[in-house]
Amino acid sequence: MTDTTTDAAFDIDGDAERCPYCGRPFATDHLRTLHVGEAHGETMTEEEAERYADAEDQESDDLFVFHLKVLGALSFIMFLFVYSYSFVWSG
Amino acid sequence: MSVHRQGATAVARLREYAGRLAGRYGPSTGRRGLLTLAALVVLTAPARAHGGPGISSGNVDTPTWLFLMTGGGVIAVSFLLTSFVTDRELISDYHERRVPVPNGEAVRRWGGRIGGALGLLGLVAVLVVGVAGPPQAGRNFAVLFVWVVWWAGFTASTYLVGNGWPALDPFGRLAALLPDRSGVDVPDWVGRWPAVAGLLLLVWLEVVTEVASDPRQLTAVVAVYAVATVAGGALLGHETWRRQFDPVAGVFDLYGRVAPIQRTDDGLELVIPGAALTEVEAGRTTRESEVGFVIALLWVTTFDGFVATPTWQAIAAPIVRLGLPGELAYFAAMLVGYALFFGVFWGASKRVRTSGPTYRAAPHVAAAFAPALVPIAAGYHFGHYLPYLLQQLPAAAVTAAAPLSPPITPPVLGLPGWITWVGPISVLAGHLLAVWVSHSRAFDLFTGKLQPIRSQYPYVFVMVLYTITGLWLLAQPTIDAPFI
Repeated sequence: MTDTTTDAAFDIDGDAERCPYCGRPFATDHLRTLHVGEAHGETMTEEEAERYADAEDQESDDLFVFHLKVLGALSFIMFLFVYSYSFVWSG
Repeated sequence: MSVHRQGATAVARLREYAGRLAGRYGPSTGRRGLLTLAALVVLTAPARAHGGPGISSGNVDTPTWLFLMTGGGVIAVSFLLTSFVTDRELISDYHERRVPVPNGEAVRRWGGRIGGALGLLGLVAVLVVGVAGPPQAGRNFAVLFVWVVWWAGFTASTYLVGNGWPALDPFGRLAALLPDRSGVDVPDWVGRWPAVAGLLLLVWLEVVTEVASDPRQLTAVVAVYAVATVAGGALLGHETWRRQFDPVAGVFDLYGRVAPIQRTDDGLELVIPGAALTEVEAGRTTRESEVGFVIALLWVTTFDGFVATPTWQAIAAPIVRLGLPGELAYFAAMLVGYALFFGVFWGASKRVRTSGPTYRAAPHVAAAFAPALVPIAAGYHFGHYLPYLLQQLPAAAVTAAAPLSPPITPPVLGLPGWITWVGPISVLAGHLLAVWVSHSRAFDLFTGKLQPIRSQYPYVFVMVLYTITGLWLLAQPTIDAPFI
């Protein structure tokens, strides 16, 4: 992205967590840590790399939980439609 | 039936098909077929059991609410399924995979020469036959050429194949004969709003005048547009005109971004359909106006269908009875509907800031995701115009052979039954591509894996709303646009 280093693309209220490399503001520390690893993986420090690894673990755990919820939502929608159609078509 | 009714309300015809699908026009195996298909998408195995012989032998009606809910459900489910695709490499591969077309430069050079000649020939033919040809729309080559060949056929080619308008464009070619002086400076805030106004104005004219059925009126509009292009190009500069004022070039430019063939600096390349939408230069004028143009494209497709519903008649009747001219009521509806569509999308873009969460400013978010709506407009266009194109193409070909003395009743094609499937399927396909483009755009813009997914909540809500609106329009009975 070309506009990551400028504040013009952002509308900041309160304290933003800033990327130490490009200054891009983030709403949470977690997102900033992930960004440092994704965008500045080759220049980041050892400590940042460690934190990035932790943040990635956290992210994939959260994603797993999220996907469980998605599966729940999909099953709900499936049953909703099965019952709607069987109700309507049998009537 | 005049070409006007067939042309201006190609939408209406599709609605009739869909109405049939939704069980309003009596027995329908097609409807159950569609719903089985939709249910298949949603439910996979269980639906197959329901679509079995036991069910399809009965003649049951599916209420409109279930028809709409199914459409909305398909969009919601497709969003939930895309949330499983979180591999950044895979997603960026999708929009970065490019295959150069061999000899693209030569193809473009020759395409420009041949296309340019064809375009000018077409323009001259329209101007001459529009005035000198027969007054009946269904026999007049100018009317058939503009609405069937150009607006139905050529437009479909821009999003299915690639945007050939820069090669064909006879108006731009005429304008290029005059020197490019750009004597007038356009202020920055003007952005692309003139093109938005032009697009809304053209579609309003198409609905309230006889431009779709009266060859003389059509010729007048085409001539005015040619004069405007030449004068605008000379006054403002060709590039400024094309980019900020010309609604036609703007529409084809956006539609062309859906297509697999894209222009590069010196040739052509193949991309995955929709991939080029992720790199639309949203910041070229103002972000608000760029978003405004995409929304205008989406809204005019809806407006065309909306004004032929009993609902519109019911809303407009008291206003017209108060003494407001029908044309103005249409104009007001055009503006109010546009403001509503724009407002909903802008509101969703603001919500992204909290659903992400992100500090990205709303105009930037809106500009990044608006191009994802283009496949929806393309899906509606294809659904509306494919049956019309197939039906009228023989008439266009026959009148082209003898434009000044065409046969009394030029032949039209009888359409096979499967054509009823095209509308709803292409509407859904457009929405599915939109969800996917939006998803891949989110991964480009946001960090990690959950933020891009969460950023999509407001847009998925909006897209479900658009789908339900579109399918609701399709399921309405069709009337002639009232009060005009």
